[in-house]
Parts: sequence; C-alpha cells; structure tokens
Amino acid sequence: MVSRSLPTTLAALILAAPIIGCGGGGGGNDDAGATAGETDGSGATEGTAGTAPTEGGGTDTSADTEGPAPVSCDDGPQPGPMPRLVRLTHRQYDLTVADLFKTTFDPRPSAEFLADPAVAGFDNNAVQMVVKDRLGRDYRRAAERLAGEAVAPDVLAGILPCQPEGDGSQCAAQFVAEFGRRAFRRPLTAAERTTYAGLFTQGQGLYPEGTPFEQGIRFIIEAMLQSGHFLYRVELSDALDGEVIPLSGYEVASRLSYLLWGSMPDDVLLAAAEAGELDTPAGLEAQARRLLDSPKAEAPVADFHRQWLELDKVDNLQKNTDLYPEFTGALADAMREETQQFVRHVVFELEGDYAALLTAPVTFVNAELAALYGVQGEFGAEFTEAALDPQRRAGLLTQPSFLATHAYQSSSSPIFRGAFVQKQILCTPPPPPPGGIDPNLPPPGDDIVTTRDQVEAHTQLDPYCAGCHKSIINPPGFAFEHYDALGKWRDLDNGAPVDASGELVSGAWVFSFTDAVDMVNQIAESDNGTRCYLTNWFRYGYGRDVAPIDRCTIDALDAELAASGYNIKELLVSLTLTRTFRFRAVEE
Amino acid sequence: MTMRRRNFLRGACGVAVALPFLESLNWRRFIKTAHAAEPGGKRLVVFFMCNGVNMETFFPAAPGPLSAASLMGTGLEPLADHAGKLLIPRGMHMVPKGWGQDADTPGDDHAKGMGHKLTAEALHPDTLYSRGISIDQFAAQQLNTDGAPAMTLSVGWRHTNWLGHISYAGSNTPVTPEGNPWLTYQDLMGLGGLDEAVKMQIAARRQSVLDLVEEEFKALKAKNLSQADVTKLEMHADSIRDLEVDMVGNGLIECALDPARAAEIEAIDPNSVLEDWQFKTIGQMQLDILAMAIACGATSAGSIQFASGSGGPIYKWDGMNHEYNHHKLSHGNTKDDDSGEEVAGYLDMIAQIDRWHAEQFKHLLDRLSGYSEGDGTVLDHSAVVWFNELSDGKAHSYLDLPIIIAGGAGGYLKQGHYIDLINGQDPWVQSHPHNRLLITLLNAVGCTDNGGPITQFGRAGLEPGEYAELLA
Repeated sequence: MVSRSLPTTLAALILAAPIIGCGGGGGGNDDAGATAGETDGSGATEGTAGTAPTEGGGTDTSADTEGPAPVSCDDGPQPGPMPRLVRLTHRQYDLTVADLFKTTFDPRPSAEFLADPAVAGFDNNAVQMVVKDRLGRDYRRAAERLAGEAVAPDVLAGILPCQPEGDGSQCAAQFVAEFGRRAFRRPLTAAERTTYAGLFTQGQGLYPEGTPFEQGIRFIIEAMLQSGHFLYRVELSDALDGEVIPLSGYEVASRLSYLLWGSMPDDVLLAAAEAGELDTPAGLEAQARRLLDSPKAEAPVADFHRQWLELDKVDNLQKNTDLYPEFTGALADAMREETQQFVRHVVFELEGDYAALLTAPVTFVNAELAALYGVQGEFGAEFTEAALDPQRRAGLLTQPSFLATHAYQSSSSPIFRGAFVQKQILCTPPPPPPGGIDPNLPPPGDDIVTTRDQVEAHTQLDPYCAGCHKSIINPPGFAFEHYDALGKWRDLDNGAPVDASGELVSGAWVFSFTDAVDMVNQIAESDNGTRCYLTNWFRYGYGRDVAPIDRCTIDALDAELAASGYNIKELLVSLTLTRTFRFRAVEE
Repeated sequence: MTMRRRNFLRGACGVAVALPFLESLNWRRFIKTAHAAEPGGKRLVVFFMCNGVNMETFFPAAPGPLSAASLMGTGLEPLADHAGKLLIPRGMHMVPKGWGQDADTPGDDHAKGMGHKLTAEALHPDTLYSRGISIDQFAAQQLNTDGAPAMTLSVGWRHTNWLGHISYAGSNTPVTPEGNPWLTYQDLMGLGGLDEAVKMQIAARRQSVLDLVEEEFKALKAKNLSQADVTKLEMHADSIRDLEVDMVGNGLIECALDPARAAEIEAIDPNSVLEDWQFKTIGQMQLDILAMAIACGATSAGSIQFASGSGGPIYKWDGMNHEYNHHKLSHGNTKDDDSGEEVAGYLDMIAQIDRWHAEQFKHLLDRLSGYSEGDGTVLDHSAVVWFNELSDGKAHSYLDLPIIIAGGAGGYLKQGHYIDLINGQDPWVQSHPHNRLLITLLNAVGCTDNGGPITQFGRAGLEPGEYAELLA
C-alpha cells in the first residue's frame, strides 16, 4: 500500500481556501480562536460563538450596512419580534423558586438540569430556549423535590396565607389563589382556581408521608411548578392599540423583574401591575428605579457581564507554570471575582457610566491579585479596593480576566485579544478564520524578537492573511502587548521594548493609539463603544437578536443615553421604557 | 409534530392497591411500555471517540480476511474475539470536507469532525451546529415503532457547545447526551423497581399533572400563538409524554440490569460523573445500559460519545499513566495550543488510548452478543459503528477515516473483512465520501426512503448511493 502519510504543512491549502472579505460590516459568527490548533485547550474555548448575529451587531456601527433594505424610522421606534412564550433560563429558575418559596435550596435545583446548548451570543435567547430531550424530566424531578421541601413546616409557614380549619379546603383554595398569583405572576382565572383547588383532595393519599392537608398542598405545588404558566413567561395580550399590542400590567411586571432581577415580581410589583401603574411610562419608571435600588439587581448585571466578557473562560484557564509559577486555579477564580466586584462597584456604588467601566484605574484584589498587579500593601483572602497606576491600567480590558483568557499558555495572543475587541467591544466582528491554517507562529530569530514580530511575520506578509489581520485584528491586540499571558505589566518582551501602538479600524472609524490605556480611553469616549455596549444589552435584556426594525429603537436609546453620558443604571431604566419593551408587534 | 407516543402498560401493575380514584384519573394511560422495537428487529449503535488515532498502529497490516492473528499487535487487538464479525472499510473521507476544502462550510476542523460525522451536513454559520439530522436519530424515527428518539449517552467531560454534540434531531437542533448513568437508567426503568403502592401513587400524580399540563397547552395553542411558539409547546409536550417507560420491553429481554449492577450505578456520586478518574467506570456503566436498552427493545438506535472534540481525559488507568490529556497527546504537544514542547513517546501513548477504546468497544460487543435473539445474538441484528472525530489527530485530518463496523445487521453487511476502498491510493484521491457509508448503514438496518432504499443522505449535491463493496 502506498504511504498514507499526510502533509504536515497545510500552507498549500490556504491558497485553495475561499477568500473571505474583511472590513465590511457584515456580522457572521466568530469562531475566532476556534481554528485549527488555536481553539484547542480542553474546554478553553467554550462558547466562542459569535455574539453578533447577522442582523444588528456588526452592521450597527457602520454606514455601509448590507442586507435587507434599511428600515425607515419615520414613525419612531416600534416593537420588534418577540415570542409569546419565553422559557425561564436555568439561572432565572433558581432565583425564582428561591423567591417563590422564600427560602434557599441546596443544591440549587438547576444543578441537575440538562444544560442548554450554547448558542451564539447570550444564553437567554427567547427563541432558542425550549424544553426538549430530558429537560422535561428534569423539571418534573425538580417540581417533585421542591414540593416535598415546601411542605416542611418552616417553609410552608412562609407561603401559606391562612390556618387550615376543618378539612382545610378553604385554606387550600386561598393558597391556590395567592400562591398561584405569585407562581404564574398574574391572578389565576376562575377555571384555573377550580382546577388547582381540585388537586387538593386528589393529592391526599398520593404520597407515602405527610398529613392529608400537607399532601394536598404538596400536590398543588408539584403541578404548578410543571405548568407552562410557571416555566414560561406567557404573554397573551392581543388587543390592538393602533398598530401595536399593549402588554398587560402583569406581562410588563414580569418583563421588568426578569430584566432587572432575573427573577419573579415581588408583591409590590404585582400590586403595581394590578393598580395599572405600569401602564404609564412614569409608573413603569418608578418601579424600574425601585427594582434597581435592590441588591437583587446585581444578579442580571453580573450575568450580562459574565457573558459579554466571556468570563467563564477562566474555568478552563491553563498557564505554563514554568513561566508562571504563581498561576493556580484559585488565581483564575479570583480573576473572575475581581471583574464582577469591579462591575458591581462601577454600576451600583459609583453609579458610573460606560466610560468608567472601560477606564476606571481601580480594582478589587486579594493577595494573589495584588501581587500580579504589583500593588503595595497588606492583602489577604478578602477582596479590597485598590488604586492602580492610571498610566498602566484602565478598567475592564486591562484586567487579567480578559488578558489571561485571551492569551496562550506561555505568551500573549494579540490575535485573540484583537478579535475580542472587534467582536465584543466594537461590534465589528472579523469573519471566522479559514480552515486549514497553520496556527504556529514563526519562532523568534534574528529579525523576529517579540510576540508582535511573530504575529506580524505570520499574518501580515501573506496578502491573504493580511486582509483581516493587518488593520482589523492585530492592531487592537498589539495594544495589549504590555500585558503578558497572565496579565502582568511588562516593559520588555523577550528583551526588546514593547511596541503597543497602532491604528485601529472598526467599520468606518479609524484612529491611532499609543497603547492600551490610550486605546480604551478613545473607545470609552466613542459612539462606537457605547453603541456596541448598548446593542449587547439590548440582546441580553430583551432576550432576542436585533431585528432590522430594532435599529430605530437602538438609534433613539443611543441618542438619549449619549445626552446623559451613558450612565449604566440609566441605560437599564431606558431599556424598560422603550416601545418594544412595553408593546408587542403584530405578528404577520 | 403529532401525538405519536401512546403505548401504555398492560398489566405490569397488576397488584391491586386500594386507590379507588385512580380509575377516574385514567392512570393506566400513563405507565407505558418500552415497546419501541419489535423482537429481533435491526438496530444501529454508534460508538464515538475524538481526536483521531495513531494511523500507523491502528489498522491491520494488509486488507483481507480478519482474524485474531491479523489484529495481533494493532490498536484493534482487543477485538480479536469478534474478528469474524468486524468490517473495516478503509479510505473514506469526511464530507463536507475539512481543512477549508469545501467553500461555505463554517467551523474549524474539530467542529466539523463532530458535527459533520453523523449528519454529512455543513454547520450553521451562526451556531456551528449541524444543519442536518444524524443517522442515530434518523434510524430511531423509522425503527422505533413509537417514534422515540435515539438514546444518546456521553462519557466524561465534554464541551456544552458544538464540540460536544454529535447527535442531531434536525437542522441546528443538537441532542444533548446524558452523562449520568443513574439518570439514564432511571429513565429506562421508569417506575420499575419501586414498591407497587408507591409506584401507583407516583403514576397517579404524574398522570394527573400531565393531563393538566396538556390541557393548559391545548388552551394556549388555541390563542393566537406564532407557529414557533406552537412548535415550542409541542416539543415540550412530546418530551414529557415520552418520559415514562416501564419494565416490559419487547417481552423477550427484561429492560433491567441485575440488581447488584443497578446498585453500583445508583451509588455513583452525581458530582463525579465528569471527572477523569471516573471515565472508565462511567463508560462501562453507560455501555451496559446502552446494550441493555438496545437488547430489550427500549430503543432501536443509540449513540455513546466518549469525551469531546478538542478535549478528552488524562488517561491514568489500565496501564496508562499519561501526563497530558488526549487532545494534547493527539498533537504530541505539552500544551493544548501547540505552544509547548513535544511529548516524548506520544505516538505510543495515542496507541495505548486507541487500544483502550477498542477494549471498551469490545465491552459493548460482548454485552450485545450476550443477549440471545432468534438464531443468534442482538449483535448479529445490529450495525455497531465506531466513528472517530478525525483520523490523524495531529493534522486534524478528515481523510482516511478510521471506521470499524461490528455486526452484520442481519446479514446485510460483509463481515470478517478489512477492505481498502481506494486500493492503496493516496487518500487525497478523495473518491469515497463518508455520506455513502451513512446511506449504507441506514439501509443495512432497514431504513427506507418512502419504502425504497435510501440513496441520499446529508448535504445536497453529495454523491448518492450505498457502497456495494460493503454488502454481504
């Protein structure tokens, strides 16, 4: 048999591969870092699918929009397409049952849920979240477990509105009405009250233990937790007001609480819905501000930034411990904690704006992180606020949670870092890398000394590679060359001075910078940065992709927020006041 | 989607229990049989591993009849006992192709190796999930009389994204495999094994809730939902209707493992199922369950996926004491990103890993051939196919795929042969696309295209027709 050995160099294939254009606004997914060799890492590349669906994203910031004919905004912003059934995410499920039963469950119920397949962008896309495979089984198992725990005396006392007398059926009926209103996030219909109250007697004798009253209540809970009205946020309003469908007060209350708390409405919000207060922008705004003043608002803000910044990458972070002996799993965890504390500080304590997120020269460190930063002082296991050198550090993108996860095990990766900036920070994602490329950088030699030299030699000489790398991907990556594979500052790379300067091209926007601090300061003050941040919040906050018609909503929000300096809490309030939040579009 | 699964238990709950209201709940409707397959029907089982093999040591020396002797010293040596029931077709390449050789097929070589292999379809550009149904689910739709989906299992840590999925219910619809054998087993057992009185209580509750939920869904569907929302509800309804399976099976083989084995499975710490040190233990449990489910008629099609593309455990058992995980070794490098140093002796380590997986494949074949059926065994009526994400892992190659088929699918497939489809030519000739193997397998297990043989599968424009070379 003839030798079946395979070519070890695939360079020839590159010439045969299709040419992918660069510089256009077109979105497309980004599996950058998901190319031969580059993606590898047992798990290190989880969830790198693009956050920029073909509509929206990359086309938002550039004038040369392609695709369908532009939508006219002459009639002002109008609602975009939204399913009537939105399944709770696993995180929302956990928070919701904790609120519903006024207790915490350990382990959290979703720990055994079949994980949702990761889909481009955020994990809460309303269209993609379905009950399939074994998730129905998991919901049932959780319902059966939680119902059993809910009738423990101390938990039951918290959710039972009455003392049972006689056969308990009166109290059970009251329980159905009041607990049901919280579980379904709206009052039950008369028919529903009858159905669920009927389970009270049916359930008696269907459990091996418990009093008849407990068994009846337990069965009601078990059923309600499997109802579609609990598992989905259901929006059935369909009466037209002009061209659009106003949502009911309860439907708005759920949208509000899941956007701002990631959980169910509380009693005050349900009462506001009942009183019609949410039917006016002023009433809605008052409730939005009340919710944002609660510590519960921290959960969705943390969840958004976890996904936007790809913080879960620290889970599988690996470093060459010969070069970085200080690296441990605990340090990786600390990187994520640092960023989440920083985000919470900026958003809720400073009530800061987008620019503060990107530029604030402060952070939160424990002893290990303090050493990484070279911060002087006494630090222990607790995280404490620390001022950083503003010449060297500026906000999120100079934190190790980004720098270390977008790097190789032994060296920085300008390509990973640059692609991230284009995709996540500027919403101008480069196209995915072609198949069959050789990811190995040329080794350092006489002319090639620094990592930057290696990347330039590997990607900027061949015109095929240079199309995307030279002006799009590499420059924002080179900006971070003062930070090594762990995120530590360096003046020299392989003995040569670091050159972190460059010219960044993002759509139609072109600017020069001297280093990362300079670059992120310019991004922080740019319309491109704020609009991309807003667009990502739109996707996460509304749980859907950006449709063509949503450009008008984003335009209006962008203008409004730009006028007020892009304060982040105000951004969240604004998201609750749009027409697409308060109304439903008529489906075709 | 229609109401397609309505088989209910007849008589397995024969013990009379004083629950007078049960009749009014129509509870009998709820406990269903696992009667997915007819006795002696054909089955399709996929055994999947990742990161390629050592191409120099995996295969026998030369094409020809297979025997214990011809397997000696190769990666397949552990399969010696089954040599007469193996078919090794060599020289196929994956389609759509890897290495950027097919325009407009997104994803890197690992993504393609996972998503293309059982679907022969390109990946969706937004999600990198495959655009087509996989052969295990396709076969299940046709062979399971109640339309139940294929059993999909996994072993060890896997990516939750496209690198961790091989099975697809349809375009962009990955089926997430179950990695916890106790959850798998409980699903299969349904309420079997519980005290009769407790079982009837649970059945009554679940039936009652199911009825209530289905009524609610019906009421919701009467509202003006979009088609997408209706589909969502139907998918949900199907998934909960499919939940119950009892111990009846096809009436020939009981859908249960022996109680000692079941107790071992139950004793597994659920938090440990993804850990490397459990890889072998969990894997053998999953194989036992898969073989049992296939044998007893709970399903006619199933797949088991070991680890994940671009991942894999650090093998430290059965004589292996590796320092680096499977993916690193596949590249012969100490770092996943190829930035480290060469691992001395990595080719030998890959050969050890191949051989270990051959032992697991043997475990599955042993189990399947341990169930007698008709004149032979369940293995004889099955096509059990060992796929790999890649061929040469270091090159991310999609050429010259390592594929091992066991069992003749009831006399359809050639057995005991190592066939070189490309007659010693360089694999770059790319004359034998693997979609035609998928067609061959589907025909072998009795799937049809509207009653006639299947001639096409996967992406439009691929070569049609099965491989006559593989037929008995």
